[in-house]
Amino acid sequence: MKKFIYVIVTVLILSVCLGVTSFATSVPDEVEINQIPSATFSEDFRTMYFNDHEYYQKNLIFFDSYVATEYDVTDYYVDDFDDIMSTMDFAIPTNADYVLSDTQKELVYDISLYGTDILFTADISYNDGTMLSISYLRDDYIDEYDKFIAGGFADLEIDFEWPEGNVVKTTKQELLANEQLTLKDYDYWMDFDYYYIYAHSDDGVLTYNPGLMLKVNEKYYYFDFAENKSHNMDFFMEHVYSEDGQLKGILVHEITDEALLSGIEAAETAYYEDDFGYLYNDELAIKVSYFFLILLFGVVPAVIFIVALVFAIIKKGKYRKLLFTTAGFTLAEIITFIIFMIVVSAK
Amino acid sequence: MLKKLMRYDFKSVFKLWWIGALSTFVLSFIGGGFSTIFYTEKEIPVPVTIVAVFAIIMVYIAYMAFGVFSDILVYVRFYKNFYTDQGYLTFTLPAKRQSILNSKVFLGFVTTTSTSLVLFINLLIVTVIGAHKYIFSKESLEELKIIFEEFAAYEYNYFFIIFLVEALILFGLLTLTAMLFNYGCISVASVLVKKAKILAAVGIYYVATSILGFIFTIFYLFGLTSLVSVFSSISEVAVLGSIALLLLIVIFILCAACSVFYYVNYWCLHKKLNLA
Repeated sequence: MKKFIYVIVTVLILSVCLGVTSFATSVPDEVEINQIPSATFSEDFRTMYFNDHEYYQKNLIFFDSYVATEYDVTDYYVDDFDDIMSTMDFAIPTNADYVLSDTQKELVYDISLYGTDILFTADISYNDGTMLSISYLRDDYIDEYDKFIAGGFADLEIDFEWPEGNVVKTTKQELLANEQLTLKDYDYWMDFDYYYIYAHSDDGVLTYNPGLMLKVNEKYYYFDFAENKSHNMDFFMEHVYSEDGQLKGILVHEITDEALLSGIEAAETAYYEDDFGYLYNDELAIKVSYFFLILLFGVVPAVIFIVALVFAIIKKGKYRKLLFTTAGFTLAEIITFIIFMIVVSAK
Repeated sequence: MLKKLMRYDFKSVFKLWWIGALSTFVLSFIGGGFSTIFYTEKEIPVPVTIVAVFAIIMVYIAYMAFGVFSDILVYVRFYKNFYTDQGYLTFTLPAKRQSILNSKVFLGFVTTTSTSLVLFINLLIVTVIGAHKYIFSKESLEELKIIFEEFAAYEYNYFFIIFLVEALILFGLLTLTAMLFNYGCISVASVLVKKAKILAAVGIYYVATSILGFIFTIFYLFGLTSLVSVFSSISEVAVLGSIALLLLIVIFILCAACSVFYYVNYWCLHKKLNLA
């Protein structure tokens, strides 16, 4: 009987081992599963070939991105790449592999390639220590991108970010048509809010941030990146936070259109109510909170006070003093709590 | 009689306590010396940095050990004197029960406060030795001066003196409450069970702190909303006044809690007096 059990167990173990082995061999290698096609480049790196598509070098304007003016080692890069990635279709592949020609190998020793299936950025490290970042846009998006950027951004959204939906629609023409003035740094650096303004392409793939809406001393202004010869937030932040009195300030347009202003104010109020409502304006939350306050600082001490007082009266002997002390402290606490409630409700 | 009781209690605890206090005090200078390397601009070799980090960690472990050690001394004394065979002798002393308990309360309070003070001084020594270049630099002193000037110019600065006084009272009361609570756990466990009293005391401590922790978490989550809301809508002086009143409320609550815990201990001692 014993031998029979040994045989059964051995067979079972062996069959499990065989099963695992055959399963393991049937699963393709990791490389095979995630095989990413390699990217290749034209000799001048202006075109990239990847996954049956051509990608063209493009001076992109996205979000806070820097606008490149020339194809140059020092002057071309896309800023804040994470932001760009966050808006793009994540059908990745990121960190795609690449293949270089022999001539390219003589010049370049490494390329870091990041991207989605529409946009790629290549950080090209040259043998002489210099580095070049190039953005590539997929061939079928080139025209769409140009149309989008050149289209005057018919619909801009002043975005109150969170929660989604608190946006105000406007146009760039409308914002720029308002009176232009210069805000010097001391006008606004102490106390201001700013909100992003976005334009999205119809399919939502392309996003552009042409400027900001500023709120200074309860007035609203439009700050246009291009008008200030800046193309990113860095310029704006430097001006806002610099303590250098020599700064010229920033060019803005005061928003005066009443319909637009009321829309902005409504969206802003909704934004604060949605985001901080629990703390500021939610009546139910405040009532619940008062309930707990009164329970902890009012009802519980009152119960302890009554119990201690009753026992102090009933009991005789050495406990009496102690019970009276407890009752005294709880009574003092209740009185202080009542004063506190009067102070906070007096407003 | 209370004085005599206290003398014996203090002698018993402090004959060991001072060794820990002195050791950590000396270690503070060593820790301070090692921590200077984190504030220097010179390049320090990696092995030296590793040794320094380990040395500083050891110093902080010693601090923690000292804190635990002083607590153990107090609670072991309390437990042994009252709830072991020594209890027979303790309660035959020509002293009132209240005096015996008061002596232990006073011992616990002084020991815990002294330990906190020693640890505070030790941390100060480590910081001052380690960062003396920055602490006593012209810029730091200038900044300190500016802070004092701003404080002096602040309209409602007297509130901060009230807060300071209340904070000191709160610290004392918290120490007292925590100690009476722990004594209470030991007492209740000793009255309730006959074997494994320490284990029972630890169990009661965990159950009680869990319940209290739950109540305070609920209060923290739901109870503070109205305060934030109220504080955002009333004047600055009313906010400061309300905070002062809130601290006073907490002080009274802690006073009441101290009375309750003292009552529990007293009741347990009374129960335990019947040692037959």
